[in-house]
Amino acid sequence: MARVVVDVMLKPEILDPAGQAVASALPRLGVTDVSSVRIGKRVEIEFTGEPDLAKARQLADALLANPVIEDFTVRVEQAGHAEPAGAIDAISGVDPVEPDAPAVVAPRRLAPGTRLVEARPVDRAEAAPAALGGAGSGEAADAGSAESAGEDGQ
Amino acid sequence: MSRIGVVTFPGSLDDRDALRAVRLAGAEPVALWHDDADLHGVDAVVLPGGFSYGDYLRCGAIARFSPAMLSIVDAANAGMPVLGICNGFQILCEAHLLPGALTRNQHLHFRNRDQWLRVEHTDTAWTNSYQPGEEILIPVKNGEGCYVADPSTLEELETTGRVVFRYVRGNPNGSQHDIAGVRNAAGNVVGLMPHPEHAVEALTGPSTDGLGIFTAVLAQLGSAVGER
Repeated sequence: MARVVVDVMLKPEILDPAGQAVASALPRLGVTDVSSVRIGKRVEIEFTGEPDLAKARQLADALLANPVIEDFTVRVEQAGHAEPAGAIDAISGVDPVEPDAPAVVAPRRLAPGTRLVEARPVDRAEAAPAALGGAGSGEAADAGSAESAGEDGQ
Repeated sequence: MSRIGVVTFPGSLDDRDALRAVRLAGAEPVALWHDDADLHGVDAVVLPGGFSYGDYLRCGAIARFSPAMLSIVDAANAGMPVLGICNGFQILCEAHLLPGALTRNQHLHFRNRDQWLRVEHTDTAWTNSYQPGEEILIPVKNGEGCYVADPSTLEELETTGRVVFRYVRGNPNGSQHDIAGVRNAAGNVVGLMPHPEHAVEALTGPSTDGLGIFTAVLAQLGSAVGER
């Protein structure tokens, strides 16, 4: 079964106070080289049959996004796979690009073992996988080193 | 007697107060139900405050597609007076009956206080009882009341007199141009974030300044009947 993923983001010119609040919290984690954080929504639509990008785009334009303040992209993703199987379509809510335009695929996750913050104190080894932001259980392998990195940071 | 409908959506909070304000203004309040496309012959409609459909996705986004709203969009385009208060304003923007959008308050706090507004324009179905420039005090209570629109829309709203209410003595949510309420081009559709239905009696409100919005539509309906 295939799913359609709709990513919804506030337009660049629209203030994102929630993103700003997150950005302002980053220095507490020792991160000082981030200039901006913006928060959007990811909507996963499972069709009972073949994924219908055109229909998903209509849904996104009418309901999932508000084109007054938000842009969206629509693409097909194979359910159960971590990475997008291939972005078939990437459009804005206002100005759809031509169908054969190059697909836009942004990396969605950190590579396994990537540390979010070297200096962050980690109280328990179990806390590390969550901090890494990984959904897969295989990413817990590096938890020990994340902890020691935290201790080094202190 | 004019009949004014108030739509109850799942999650509406202020529908009872709006019905009461309608009655105090001298009209017959008619309770409308979101799932009923029949507007029961009302002469005007109020979309009340609250959290329609839980405000999931975006405020007003799901309510926009309710059977009652689909009928109201048609009626509004045909000239029926429609007022959106708070969540009702958000629904009107989502339904594209009004321009712009309401977003998270800039400071991210829910803001609940009595608020001064200036009535900028009185040539609408809902503000003809006020004097241009009159300042009124009514409660504001929202978490997503920050009005935004693109620069050209803002420019058009300002130059065509469609900013109906403006926050004065402090902007509670960061709205662009201190905008508290706007109207459509025809003036029959008005939306505002603050709550006039909470300021209709001395006992329960900070003033009775909100009552004028509900009496205004009666004057409008009366004159409309007279013109026929």
